[in-house]
Amino acid sequence: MPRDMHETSEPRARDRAEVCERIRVAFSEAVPHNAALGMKILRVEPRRARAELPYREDLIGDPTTGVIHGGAITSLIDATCGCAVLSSLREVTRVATLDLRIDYLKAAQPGRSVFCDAECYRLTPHVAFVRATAHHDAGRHDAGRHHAGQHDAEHHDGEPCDATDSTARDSIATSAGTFMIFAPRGNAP
Amino acid sequence: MNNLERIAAARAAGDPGQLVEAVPYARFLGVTFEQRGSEFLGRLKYSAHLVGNATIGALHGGTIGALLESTAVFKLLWETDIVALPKVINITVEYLRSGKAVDTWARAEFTRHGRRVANVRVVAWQDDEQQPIAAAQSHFLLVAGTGTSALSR
Repeated sequence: MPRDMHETSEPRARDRAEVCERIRVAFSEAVPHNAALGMKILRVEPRRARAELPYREDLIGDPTTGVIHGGAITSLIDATCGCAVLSSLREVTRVATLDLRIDYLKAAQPGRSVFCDAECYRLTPHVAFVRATAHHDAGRHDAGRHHAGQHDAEHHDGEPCDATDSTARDSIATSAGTFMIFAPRGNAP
Repeated sequence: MNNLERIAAARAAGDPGQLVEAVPYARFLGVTFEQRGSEFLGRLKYSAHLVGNATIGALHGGTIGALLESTAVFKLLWETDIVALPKVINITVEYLRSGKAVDTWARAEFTRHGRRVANVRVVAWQDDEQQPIAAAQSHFLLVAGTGTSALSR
């Protein structure tokens, strides 16, 4: 998804927090589909972002269980990753999703908000690499670091040995995305 | 009517559109399905609430991902003998061009259709099928009966 912030004419040495807040507000309010989904960008800081998708009945994908559709989670992850990429840039410019892989670890629970934490873990001049996790835990502190969970082998669901780390067990989905970074306006050759 | 009865009724009527009426999110997005000859096509009707970038009027990447995923799911429901909604194990969406403010179409192909797992490739386009705007590769867990699966969902 292409995004365009139109802020490149401002001085480079702007306050990072102010830039992050602008990204947060823009993604919450100025992106029609995010607003239509009721998505809230809760926090944007350099390289990281967190968003919330409150449960809504019109987002249900399986009418038998009331579980929300994967497509709504795709939108949540794409938007949160986009914020993480933009907040990692020295100059705010346009970025576009190249690809997004989502592994569904377990179904979202009906009636609960889905949160997404995204982290841009590698930035090159033209491409950004992002990972993200979707989960129900409003208090989780490990933004995007789903690889850092403690591996454990406690008994679970009748399985003899559960090869699941404790963070992943509580996650709905983990995701990896790549984004293209366009040259800021005025700096293009 | 439960899912199983709905699928049976839609197949009997030859109208895949009936499947969509049962899924609130499909109605929210504006996704529909149609049979054109032997082809099963998904369609995302353009609407202002699908826009991700208001400046250039481009579709939100999530809406394109949703069309791709839904087309795979409904083709599985429509053309195979499964009796419950397939569960997405994973999906990789490749964004090839930005989606313009027009309708988007999608076609799915089963790369591998086993008893428990299906691998599906889906392509989406707008004006020109030779200029796809996105593609997805996805695994689905196929569930016999309802409610239980190997992933304990």
